[in-house]
Amino acid sequence: MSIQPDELPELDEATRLTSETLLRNVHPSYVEKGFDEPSPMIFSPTQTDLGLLSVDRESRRTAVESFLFRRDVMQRKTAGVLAVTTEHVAEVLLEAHENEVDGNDAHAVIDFRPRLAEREVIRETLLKRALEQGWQVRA
Amino acid sequence: MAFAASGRGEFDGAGRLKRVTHLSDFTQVDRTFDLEGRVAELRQLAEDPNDPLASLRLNRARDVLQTVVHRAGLAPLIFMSEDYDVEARWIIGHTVVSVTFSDAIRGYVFDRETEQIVDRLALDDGRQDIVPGWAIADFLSRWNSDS
Repeated sequence: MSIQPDELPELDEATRLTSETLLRNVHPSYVEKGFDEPSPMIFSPTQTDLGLLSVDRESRRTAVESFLFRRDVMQRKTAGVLAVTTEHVAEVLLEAHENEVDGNDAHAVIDFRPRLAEREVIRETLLKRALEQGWQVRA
Repeated sequence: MAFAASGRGEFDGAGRLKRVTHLSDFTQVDRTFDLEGRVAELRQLAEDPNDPLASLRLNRARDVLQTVVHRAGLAPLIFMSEDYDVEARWIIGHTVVSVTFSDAIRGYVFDRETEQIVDRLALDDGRQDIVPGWAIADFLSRWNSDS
């Protein structure tokens, strides 16, 4: 889900998530057939994300529900779901925040803006942590 | 380059790599590699397959990777982001070599044991948009030799 500049959410201590599993749907172009390991680009915000990486909160939506929501409600491509925790996010010195949006009360973001220049290291580390837990859903 | 000469890859009559074999520390051992096929697959997987930016990035990556694969003898995994950055990725033991084709071509080596980037693709002329395939091949071969 891309974020418009005039829609930048207010993130503060009140929205910060401290004990949550964060689900990330994986677009099929990040995966090669026959290989479990996708590209770490899945854990890096795109230009239109404005430094905020979209995830779903597992306490609001299971991994299977997240997969189905992405595929059937948002009608976007997904090859499966990986997960990191708020502890993993803290390990790379970032924060995750709740960020409900219209039609998606499970939506949250990982705020890369404080360390955007270091996103290559961060995305490799987050991918490693996610793969240690294994795929939550694999299409 | 050493790998093309050492017979660790199989090449067709025109010198194109058909298959990577016998690389003991290379996790992508013995996979059939079809650069054109993978590029075509990614083109179809793009959020908007008709977006010219997707074609531009994929064509550019394909052209550079043809040289890289031929000279280094190592076939990459190839991915594309939702905004059409194309990543070629080689996994050699605990070492990852990643080259991304976006507005510029950028590359780095990530050591999974230290969880740090230990080298970046350096270009003599600083023109990251025109990095040649041989420069990436040298970058890749150096790290594969060291692993």
